[in-house]
Amino acid sequence: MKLGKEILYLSDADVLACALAPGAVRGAVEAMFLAKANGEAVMKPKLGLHTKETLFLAMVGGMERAGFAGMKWVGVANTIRHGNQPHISGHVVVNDFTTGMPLAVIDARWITGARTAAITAVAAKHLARKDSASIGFVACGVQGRANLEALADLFPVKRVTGYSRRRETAEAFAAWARGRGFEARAVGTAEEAVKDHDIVVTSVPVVPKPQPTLDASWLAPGSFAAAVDLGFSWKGETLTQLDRVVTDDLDQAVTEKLTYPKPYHGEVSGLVAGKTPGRQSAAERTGLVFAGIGLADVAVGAAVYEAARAKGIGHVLGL
Amino acid sequence: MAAPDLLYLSSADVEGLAIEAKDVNEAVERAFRAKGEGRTWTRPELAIHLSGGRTYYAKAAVMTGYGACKWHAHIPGNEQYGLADLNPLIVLTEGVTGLAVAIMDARWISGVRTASFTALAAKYLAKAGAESLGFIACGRQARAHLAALRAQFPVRRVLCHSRKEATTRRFADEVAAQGLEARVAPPRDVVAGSDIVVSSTPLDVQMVPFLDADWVKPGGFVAAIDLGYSWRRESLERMDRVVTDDMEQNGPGGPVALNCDPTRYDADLGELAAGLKAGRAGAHERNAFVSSGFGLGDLAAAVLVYERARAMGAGRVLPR
Repeated sequence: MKLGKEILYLSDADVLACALAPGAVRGAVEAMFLAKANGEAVMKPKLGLHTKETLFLAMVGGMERAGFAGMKWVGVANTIRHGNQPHISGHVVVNDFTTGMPLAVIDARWITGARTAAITAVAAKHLARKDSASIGFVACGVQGRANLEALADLFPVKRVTGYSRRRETAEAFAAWARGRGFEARAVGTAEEAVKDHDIVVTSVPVVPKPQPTLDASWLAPGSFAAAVDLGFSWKGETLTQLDRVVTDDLDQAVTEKLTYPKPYHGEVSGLVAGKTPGRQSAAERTGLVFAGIGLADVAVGAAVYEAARAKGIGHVLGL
Repeated sequence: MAAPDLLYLSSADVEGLAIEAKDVNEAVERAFRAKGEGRTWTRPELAIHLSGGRTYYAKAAVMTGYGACKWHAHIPGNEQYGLADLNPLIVLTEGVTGLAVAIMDARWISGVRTASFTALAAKYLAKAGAESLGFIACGRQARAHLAALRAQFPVRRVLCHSRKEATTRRFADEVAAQGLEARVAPPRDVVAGSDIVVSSTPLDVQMVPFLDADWVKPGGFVAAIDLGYSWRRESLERMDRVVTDDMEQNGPGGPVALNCDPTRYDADLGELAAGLKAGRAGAHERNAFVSSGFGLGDLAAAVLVYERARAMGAGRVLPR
């Protein structure tokens, strides 16, 4: 491939064929957060355009030392879709940081799931108990699966509980998890998925007028809660009971109106760099409330690009 | 309902469509009219500024049927690598389903959409029947502007100036080959002798304002495509009517700094196109358009390119 003359296109199937392991994705996101903590990463809070039917998002960032910049553009459809097309679709463009030339255009479906779960996993390394063995999921879609895979790579997870507004979604998730060797069951209330778990992951789809239903007082001592849904499924004021709450970017936490009402203890980048203290005792209850940053898409997109180049996967396009 | 194909359009694919300037002008005007009427969704561009004048830009917009984001860097000094300063790409998405329908090289679009902004501003701010054009800098933008403005005005004479004599000469020869009277002239003569003046000085040069809007003749119109930075700021602000692309992006509190007081703008393109704000009111008015570019124009041009490509069977279908 010739810089400035050609780019690599990777379809969803191409991305899956790259078969990046959870540890590789986590490593890419961790390195990105370390760069962010050291002032070697640049980004802007995401740009959102909400129409009646669709939310469009542009997310951007770059890492000078790693040598990559990029942008993700996705459409999130409220309801109407073509057949089996996904709820969230779009592309990540990966650029050579120095010259700005585009290197690759990559289908964003897998990256969006994997990078979000990797943010949870990187935070969990510092905020969850090392012996965390049970995870409760509120909403059991793409994020539920991606988060389970990412967290099971780090913790001795045995017990999995799933709650979804649609019982059959939770049942399908539990069956999928049992197929991966977990003791998994679907439950009828969100409270059952929150109480008595070491880690709780909430990923309720973000809608224009969210109805918060979860109460942080349900969380067990020593637990870690990851709100992948900007915190919108939680009653925001109850989250202030937690001993320690971080986010992925302090500026974006403001622009995205995350539900946590108090100042954060810091960013995930601070945890990674050792600038923000992580869990201090086995009894602490900790949390991560976040919206996902474009830098994570760029970091994972670049890892996918490099894997595809090494394996000869993808379609070379002339510019 | 089956999902539409995902189409890839290279630079050659886009240029091969041979879309005429008047069609781009119309598409851009329709989009800005829709904006003025509240039928689009736009936000100011995202810009990541790095040292040495290097910048990354994301320009996104949504209108009925489609949304798009243009993404590119501007890296002065890429010449040392044998590369252009920028190579934008656009991802075009269906409005309702949020599904991407095209990925395209946006070099051609970036040139012509900017010229269409000027054509739109000139429709409301230049004098009807403008015959003479003046160009300060004679690169890609000058060529695109000549085409966009000829689609709208009875152009007969062109004055031109740029830093490099050979560049200016080559452009003048091209203009003459189109059957127009073309002359190379010093900056002041270009500005004073033209009904419409277009400045598109590259922003990578250490910019010391070298143009004065006081030189513009009565009835003249200036399009400062270089964010206004070739012009003495106060002289631009003294023009009778000053407009810009988008008030939210370039006006008070907006993130983009043009070489003009952000409170000075009388209108933006959406307001002009929808008739919400007045254009030229007299034959002697001297008016200016100070421009940064805006994602809605990229979207409008991308939709035109995509629909034309679909109709002509151009491009390459990518697997989803």
